[in-house]
Amino acid sequence: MATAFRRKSDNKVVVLLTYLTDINNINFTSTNMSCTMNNGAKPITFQDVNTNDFDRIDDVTAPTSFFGNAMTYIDGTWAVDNTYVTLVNNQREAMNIDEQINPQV
Amino acid sequence: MANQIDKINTIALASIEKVNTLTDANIEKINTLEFTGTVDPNKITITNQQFNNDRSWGAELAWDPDTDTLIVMYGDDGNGDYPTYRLGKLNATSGNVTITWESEVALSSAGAGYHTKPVYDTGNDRMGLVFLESGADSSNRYRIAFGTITNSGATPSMSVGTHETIHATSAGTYNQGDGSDIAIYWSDMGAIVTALEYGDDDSDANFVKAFKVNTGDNSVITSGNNELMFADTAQERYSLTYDSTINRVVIFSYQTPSSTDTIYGNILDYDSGSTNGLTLQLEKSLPGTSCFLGTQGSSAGGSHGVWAAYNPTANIHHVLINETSDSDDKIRNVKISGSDGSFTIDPHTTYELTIPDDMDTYTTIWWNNARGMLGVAGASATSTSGAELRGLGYTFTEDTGTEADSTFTAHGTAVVFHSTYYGRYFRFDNDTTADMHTGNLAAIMEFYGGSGTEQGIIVGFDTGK
Repeated sequence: MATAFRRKSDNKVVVLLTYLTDINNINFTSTNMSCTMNNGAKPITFQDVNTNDFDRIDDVTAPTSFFGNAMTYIDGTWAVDNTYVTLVNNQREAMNIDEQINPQV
Repeated sequence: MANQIDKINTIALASIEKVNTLTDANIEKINTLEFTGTVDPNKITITNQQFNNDRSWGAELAWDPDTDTLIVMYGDDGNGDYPTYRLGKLNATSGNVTITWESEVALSSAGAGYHTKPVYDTGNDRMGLVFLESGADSSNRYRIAFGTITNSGATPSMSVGTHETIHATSAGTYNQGDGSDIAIYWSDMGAIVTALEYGDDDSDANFVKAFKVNTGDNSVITSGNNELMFADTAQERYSLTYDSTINRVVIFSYQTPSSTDTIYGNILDYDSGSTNGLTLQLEKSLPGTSCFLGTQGSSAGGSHGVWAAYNPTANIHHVLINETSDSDDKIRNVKISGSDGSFTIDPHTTYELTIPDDMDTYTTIWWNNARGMLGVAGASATSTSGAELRGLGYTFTEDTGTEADSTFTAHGTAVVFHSTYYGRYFRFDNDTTADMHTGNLAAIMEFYGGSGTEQGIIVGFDTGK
């Protein structure tokens, strides 16, 4: 199971932690959120993720392929925001990045 | 500094490798006599060169000379492509370097940061942070913020103020920079000037806009700033320089009037009497002064980055172009003279520096202030297993009497400083303070296909002198 951080205003999940090590190393405050990623290998702080604007949701079943900010999670159901995916992929192409993102429920 | 020493204890300088363990580059005087040695161009070997163990889009770096802190910004492929920064400390100001990194910080989780640029505000001692938030609010927007870096012992951290959207747009609209040079600090104005294509303009034209920091809370001052078109073209290929002789920002842009590939030059002015002194003006009416027929030079290899650099020693702007007449990548020069309201932008067309074939792909140029040299770096070709990057420094000597007799002189031969470059974006720090390193550093993405490693790394090259 995973832990998700979901933006209250649009239900977008911006961070999904899937390793127990990472889930056990979260500091979620009214200012920011610090955690580790990649099974503890990547300590990171999210400056705009805070308890005022985001919910922490534990015991989430991870989607097939997650991409931050490109998926909503509402009442236990994942959905892909195709508008976001199109915008991001168009910009990737403009920057000569030859791969596209493809989040999957 | 003139050299006053030919021999030491009857031994010619060329035969002496070190004096009291110091190489000649690290000796300024011997028994009060001035001493100038030569330094070969060299790769800077960097310990802890990795700043991110994931693919890192649009990586850029800057230097805070007040706290001696390096900052690298990038879009983190391992974390939603979010615009991210990391602070680091260097253990040396010349030669090989070890970097000590702080943890990564995601500036925003609202969109993807494929394009970033940190710019240091030396007047207010703040780090300006310009970054893309692709997808945020269903649009393609750029943001700006200011941060204060502080040292706790030797550990740096940065307090960042509220972000501001550079040009708000409606859903589905793209503001773009596409790897161009999107921001520069203007010390005389005390502001950071951004340059972007605005997607809601009728012809997707390019605009500049200025921002200052409120030092009380690091918020962005926007009242009074205008949005000034500098290139009425759907292209977004421009490079920004700061001319310290006239204290102005100069813009070189690629435009295509009548379908003719042309590099234009223009000079920014500002109205100090406007609200917060933020109103920008152009010295030359659109489209600017036509300088050369061609495109921006760094397009070779499908790369983006910086393609103009100001040389304060010669008071000249070096501009990397791909000239239409022979399809060669070359550096041509632009001289600016005059004063407010009557500047002349003079493109020099009687001499040139053709970029050597082994550096004419993914090419970028920069000014190495510590060495007084123009740096050129690039690869011989794109590669399916990563490109080999090499660098070389040039001294430019202007013949003010006979322009055509002006010369570029290479210092030594090109040096390979990296072997597996992915491409896409390439820029060396334009060192104007000379207190970071006698060489120059760049943040790049490593080639990651096959056995390649997914990572962002710092590479370094010293032109020597």
